[in-house]
Amino acid sequence: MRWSYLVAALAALPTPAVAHDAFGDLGPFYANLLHPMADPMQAALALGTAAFLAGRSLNTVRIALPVFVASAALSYLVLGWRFGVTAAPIMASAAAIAVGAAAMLPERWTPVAAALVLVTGTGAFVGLSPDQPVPSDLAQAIIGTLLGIAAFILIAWAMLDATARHVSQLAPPIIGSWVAAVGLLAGAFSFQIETTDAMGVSTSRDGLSVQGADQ
Amino acid sequence: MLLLLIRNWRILLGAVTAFTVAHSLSLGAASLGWIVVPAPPVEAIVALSIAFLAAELVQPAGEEKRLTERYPWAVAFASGLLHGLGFARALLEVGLPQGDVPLALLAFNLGVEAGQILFIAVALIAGLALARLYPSVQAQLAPGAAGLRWVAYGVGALAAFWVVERVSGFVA
Repeated sequence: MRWSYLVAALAALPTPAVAHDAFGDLGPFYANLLHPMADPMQAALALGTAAFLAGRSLNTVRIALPVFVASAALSYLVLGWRFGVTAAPIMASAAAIAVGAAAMLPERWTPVAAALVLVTGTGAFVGLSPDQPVPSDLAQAIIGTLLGIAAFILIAWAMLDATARHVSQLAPPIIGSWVAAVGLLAGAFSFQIETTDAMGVSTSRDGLSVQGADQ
Repeated sequence: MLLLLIRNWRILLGAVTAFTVAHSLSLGAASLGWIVVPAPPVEAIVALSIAFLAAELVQPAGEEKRLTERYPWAVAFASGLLHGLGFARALLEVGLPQGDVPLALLAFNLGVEAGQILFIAVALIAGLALARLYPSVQAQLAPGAAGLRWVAYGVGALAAFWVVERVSGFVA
């Protein structure tokens, strides 16, 4: 009975909500710094890499973590900014599946060299996110990108490593399986073929309207 | 900077609280129009306060205690007052709803607090992770270590650049 009063009060209380952009233009530094948290595929790749590294020895992580960050920074700077290359969704999905699956493997199956090749690849895809903000100030954008990706993977690794040591060693493989599943889903969606009708409405192959052509 | 300067947890908690109280006061006063200070000098002084903290960090941890060690709450309170004025400018840019000024101030302040706590948490987790991965890094950030001085010089140089840039912006 109390709940009904509460529900009635909550139904009567709300006033019209006015949406607004609370942050505005963040600028090149903060936009790039926070980007891993705004781009699902970039976050999934970084999280998958963190999960993979959380299942490896500290000696491997000490080398692999800087390699990952350097690979992301170089791909963003050289391939992304200099040559305008972006990662095809199907390729980024394949990278997520690979790193997620690798996170489920025991360390003896992933020698250091293979681990380095894997994190170099995922780092490169993380740096080539298709909607990474266009840098108006290159120095700020590079520093923001580097810091954002480095902080994201360092903290994700630290939390997964601590969870694996103190709670359950299954944590990294479970996160890896989620990342692989995200990669599978994203890969499946990337196969959808879009067509545009005379009214300018973009329609996917399954007939669902996905977006207006003026966007 | 306070995280690097104050290593005692209780004192750090007190300093962060003093900073929070101070910026809440100046943010409220400036947002309600009780204090009217032009933005450019405030921004320059905010940058100067960061340069001051960097200078404190450069000083070796010797016999003579630094100002931040002697009066941590006072230093944090003064910094908080200055930063609150800067936050007020950001809040006024977003726009205060005329009907709900106290509620908007409270919500904005809570957002700033959440941001501060989140930043401290992220910095601590990153610090612990780096200490586990690279124990030598932790040694380099101990009071008086060379690595800490390099960090202080870097932050100080950046803050000094901001001071010159911001002062030249309203003097020239």
